[in-house]
Amino acid sequence: MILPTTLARLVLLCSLLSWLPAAADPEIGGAPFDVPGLMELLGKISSRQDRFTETKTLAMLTQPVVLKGTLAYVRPDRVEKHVTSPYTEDLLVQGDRLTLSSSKGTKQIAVDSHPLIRSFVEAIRASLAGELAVLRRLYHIKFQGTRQQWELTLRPLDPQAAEYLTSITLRGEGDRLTTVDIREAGGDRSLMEIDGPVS
Amino acid sequence: MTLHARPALFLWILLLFVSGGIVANMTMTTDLTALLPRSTDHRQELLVSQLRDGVAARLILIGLSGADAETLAQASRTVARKLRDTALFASVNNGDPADFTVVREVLMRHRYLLSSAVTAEHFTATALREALERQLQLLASPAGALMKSALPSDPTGEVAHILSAFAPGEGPSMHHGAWFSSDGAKALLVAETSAPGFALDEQESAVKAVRTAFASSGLPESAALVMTGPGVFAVDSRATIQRDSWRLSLIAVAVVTVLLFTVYRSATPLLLSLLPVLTGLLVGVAAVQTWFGFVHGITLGFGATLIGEAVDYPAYVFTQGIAGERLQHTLSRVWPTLRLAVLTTVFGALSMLCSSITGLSQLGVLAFVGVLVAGFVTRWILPALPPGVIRSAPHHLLPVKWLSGLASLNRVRWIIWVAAVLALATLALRHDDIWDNDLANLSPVAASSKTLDEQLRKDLGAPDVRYVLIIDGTSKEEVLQRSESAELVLRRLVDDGLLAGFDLPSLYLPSDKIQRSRQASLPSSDVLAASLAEAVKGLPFRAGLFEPFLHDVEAARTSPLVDIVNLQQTAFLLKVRSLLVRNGDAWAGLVPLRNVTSATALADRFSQEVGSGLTFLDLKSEAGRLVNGYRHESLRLTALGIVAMTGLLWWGLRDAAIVIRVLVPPLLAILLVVTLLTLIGERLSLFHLVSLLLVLGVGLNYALFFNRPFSDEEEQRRTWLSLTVCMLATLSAFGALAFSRTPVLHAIGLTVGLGAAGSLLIAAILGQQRVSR
Repeated sequence: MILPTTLARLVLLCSLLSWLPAAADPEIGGAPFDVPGLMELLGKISSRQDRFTETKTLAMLTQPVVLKGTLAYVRPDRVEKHVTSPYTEDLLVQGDRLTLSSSKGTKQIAVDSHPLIRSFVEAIRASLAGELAVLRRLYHIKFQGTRQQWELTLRPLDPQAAEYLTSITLRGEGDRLTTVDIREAGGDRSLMEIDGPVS
Repeated sequence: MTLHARPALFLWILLLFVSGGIVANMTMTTDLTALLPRSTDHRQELLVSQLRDGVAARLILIGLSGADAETLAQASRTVARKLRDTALFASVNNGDPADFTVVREVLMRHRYLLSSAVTAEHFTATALREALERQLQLLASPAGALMKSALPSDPTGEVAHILSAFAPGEGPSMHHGAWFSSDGAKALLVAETSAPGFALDEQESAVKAVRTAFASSGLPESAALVMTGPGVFAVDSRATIQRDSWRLSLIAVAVVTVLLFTVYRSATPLLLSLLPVLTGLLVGVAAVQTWFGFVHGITLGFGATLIGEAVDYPAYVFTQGIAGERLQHTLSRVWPTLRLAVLTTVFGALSMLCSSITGLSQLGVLAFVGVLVAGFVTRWILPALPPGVIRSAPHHLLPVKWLSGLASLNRVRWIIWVAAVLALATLALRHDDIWDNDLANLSPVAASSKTLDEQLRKDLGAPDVRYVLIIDGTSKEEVLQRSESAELVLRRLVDDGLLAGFDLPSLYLPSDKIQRSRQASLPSSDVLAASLAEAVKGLPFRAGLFEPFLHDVEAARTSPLVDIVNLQQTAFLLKVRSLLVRNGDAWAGLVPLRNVTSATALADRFSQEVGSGLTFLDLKSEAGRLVNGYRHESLRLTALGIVAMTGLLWWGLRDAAIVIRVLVPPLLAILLVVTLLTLIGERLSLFHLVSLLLVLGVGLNYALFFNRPFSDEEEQRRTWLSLTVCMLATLSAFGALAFSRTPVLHAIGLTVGLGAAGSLLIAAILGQQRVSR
């Protein structure tokens, strides 16, 4: 007669055990994980600097172009992308100004001068700043995953931007950004993998 | 009615009818430049013609503010679309990237003829390899998304090369796909009207169209619209002048009417007083229309001023009347003096009539004919009209003793002379501050509007330039070739720091010669295909990617050359048309020079280094020269006029002492008024000069009547009354003008008011009345 009781306890215990890890999340985060939760999480990081490898697959080319460099962010509105290989090129967004410097010279332009530029820049800047309102104004937002592994897909609302840009997908683990996946109209794709913080 | 009154009346009515008919059909213009002289200097002619109907004279700069940038950008697109729909505008630009695609298409189509990079070496395997490597990097950069569609046809980046040569300075800021001011507060548009800048009615419709488009652009109540540009200014000043002159004229008429009614105590002489001046104005305007084929608005305004003196003529008659006396009889007493008064003014006008400046000679014709006719009406028509009798003597309500009081101050006459000497000394010391040489100040535009215009131009990256290089040529081709050879010299001068930059017609439209040589340097398709195959070796471009490139180069080898018509309705065409202008049979190129550091050094280098057909021009000093020229001519003619008046006075008075006594008061008054204006910081313009001529005419009349011999005490009192009435009438009419905010009206009012009062005061102090023997 003891056996069924023991079995029942075991089943109960097992179900409890399996339930335990799931219950751990709300205890730490306080709520199920969603876009506002992600924004809050990312908004806590005031600056970051990571190494990246960007692989561009273009229809015009027979093999992908691979760029290496660093990506940096300083709250609230400074984004820097330095390409170090196979050539050097620096892109700096500070507030409303975008500066592109390469061996050929320096160019400055307003971020909001063209909807496409704005859509590219804000996907990174507004996401890292945790500015949900800006993202909602510019993109159709899709979110999936957990706090450990999330995926934020942004599709530009502006038709002029959408003409060139299909989507930008940010993937991450916790407050860490792991990839930026840009899909252009016509099938071209750029996959930027964040290798880890600059040491 | 006397016998000879009948033909006079008949002549008068005929004159009224004919003139009325001409005036009803007259051509009126308000274009300031129509007043400028028929210049013999072709540079000034070019300057004036550009002011009249150049592209720059057609531009309306528009600023929208008072909402967030995204809303303003949306409104900017709405306004641009609505304006394009009106057909009043040749082009409307607001920075919309959609418009830029048209420019890009035009450049793309003609890239191998327009790009300065095109040479034979440009298409060798080595050069192509370099270009392809550059493109590969660009493709991987953030700009790649935008430029990749053009890559297969334009791997050498010609369109980008052409564009970089076009925009050497910073263009306007772009936000949300529209042009903005540098502070981001104003969305900016540039509209070019179809009608020339001087066609004011069309300009007015264009300005109204902008207001309508703004009102229906969906902007909130808080939003504001600003507009500047030559046409806008002209329309505004026309409205202001009309409004101001109406208001001030009404005030003046009311004051003068009350004054005359107080004196005459009857409406009849009051109404009769208007006949000479109105007839004079009507016939005068008809004469100008017949002589010139058009009447300028300013002529009309000034003309009324100039022959305003004629209001005094009947006043001299009516105030001299004795109760029950026939007007005819009063006139026979006054006429010798009145005739001199009329003729001196006519002679003064005669000098202006000879001016080469259309504006001044129109005024001359109007004053000459108008005053002559007014004199005729006073002398022959007034007595022929009922009642023909002075019913009651004029009311001696006004104190007139003040004149005799002044006259008894003979002993303090030296004060006048001391003042005159001091005035001369002041003018000698400050002779640089007397005249206003800025052509811009002739336009009645408020300083705040000018500042706004400068700001908008700066924001649009189209500042008003002061220094230009003018390229002359017998054909468009010659101008373009000269422009091309000037480019090297200009680049050197930029490198030497003499100027920051320049714009050249040939940058946008190369000469046929250059286009042909570029065509000749393009390789044949098999040569190019071979070079390309070698260049692309080892690079990851897909096979056959550059087929469109091979095809386009082959097509360009035999394509027709690019001409102005190929540039379509783009901002690019606007640029070409403003830099390359047809000037009669000849062509001219305009080369605006930016931020010149040393004009003299630059002028030196130009004279040494550039070839024939190129002239360095300082627009500001050139305009100053233009104004100077007018002034010198006007002054010369005025001096001649004074000599003629002196001769006339000698003929009429036969007494050198009296001639001097008549001439000195108005001349001294003019001297004192000029000194006073200089001291309070007003610089004299042509408007003041014309006003001074009126002071001379009015002042001479005062002095003539003041020095008229009189038979008894009663006649002396009557003369004093005449002078007091005339002076008060002039003072009140022009005093009202002095309060105008319009610089022109203000200048006239102040000068004439002060001058007239001064003339009479000085005449009274210096004068000694004669008792006729």
